[in-house]
Amino acid sequence: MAAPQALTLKTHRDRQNWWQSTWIRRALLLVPLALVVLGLANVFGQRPVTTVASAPAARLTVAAPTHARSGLVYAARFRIDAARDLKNATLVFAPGWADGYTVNGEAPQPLTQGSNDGSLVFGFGHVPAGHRLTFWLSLQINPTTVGDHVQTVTLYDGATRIGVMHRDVVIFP
Amino acid sequence: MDIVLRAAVAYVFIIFMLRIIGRRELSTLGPSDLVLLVVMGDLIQNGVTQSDQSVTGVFLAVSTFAMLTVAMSFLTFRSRRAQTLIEGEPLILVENGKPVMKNG
Repeated sequence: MAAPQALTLKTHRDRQNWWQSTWIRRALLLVPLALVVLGLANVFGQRPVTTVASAPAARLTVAAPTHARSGLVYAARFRIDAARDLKNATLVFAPGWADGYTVNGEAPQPLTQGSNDGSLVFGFGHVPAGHRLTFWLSLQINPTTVGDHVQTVTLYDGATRIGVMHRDVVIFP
Repeated sequence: MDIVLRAAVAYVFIIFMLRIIGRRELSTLGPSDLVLLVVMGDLIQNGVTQSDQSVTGVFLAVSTFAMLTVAMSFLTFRSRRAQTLIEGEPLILVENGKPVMKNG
């Protein structure tokens, strides 16, 4: 009996066309496999990365993701280890820390808060020599935020710049 | 990274749950079975994606489930023990024209 008109034996029985090869489907399976492997390797975030900027007066440590995805909630941690007295420790955050983000909270509350050319300026007052100040910033990436954001952090003592840390975060759509 | 691990844990947990609640087929679903299957997806969604609203997160979670499905298929095809563990053993429902009630 002949095959129905809509069917051709070459395609539907013998599967002889090159695109019907099992190896093509197996090769395509490498795409999700690669995604899983890259995901496990933290390519798409959101594991925090710790970076340190040291100066004779103090050391600044920042722990926050450098890769993330839109919508994620996370807390960035900033630590100031004072080697000498800081009369008025101040952290200045580049606009990339707030642009495209929702700032859910800060702990502890800075003594002063301000803005300087779009940067966030948080003052923490006196940090004695040998003491450590830890500051947490709770953030959520807005769902429509994508791309590279500069997240430089600068530590000042009053008007004197102590150290600067250059960071970026890449936000995947 | 976390989303891949959470998706993998959720997948294994779902397979485990479906194995221990017994055999179900669409034609024999009771109301409680239907509720379980319908809401299970919603219940695990928050745990897998959390606050993630990204397309990348979708790709990662779905790819993880797909890869685990392929791995399970390969494993059950290659290993009789794995097949028994993951898919269960065939049950005789009717013998000599009579239903085997304890297997029903």
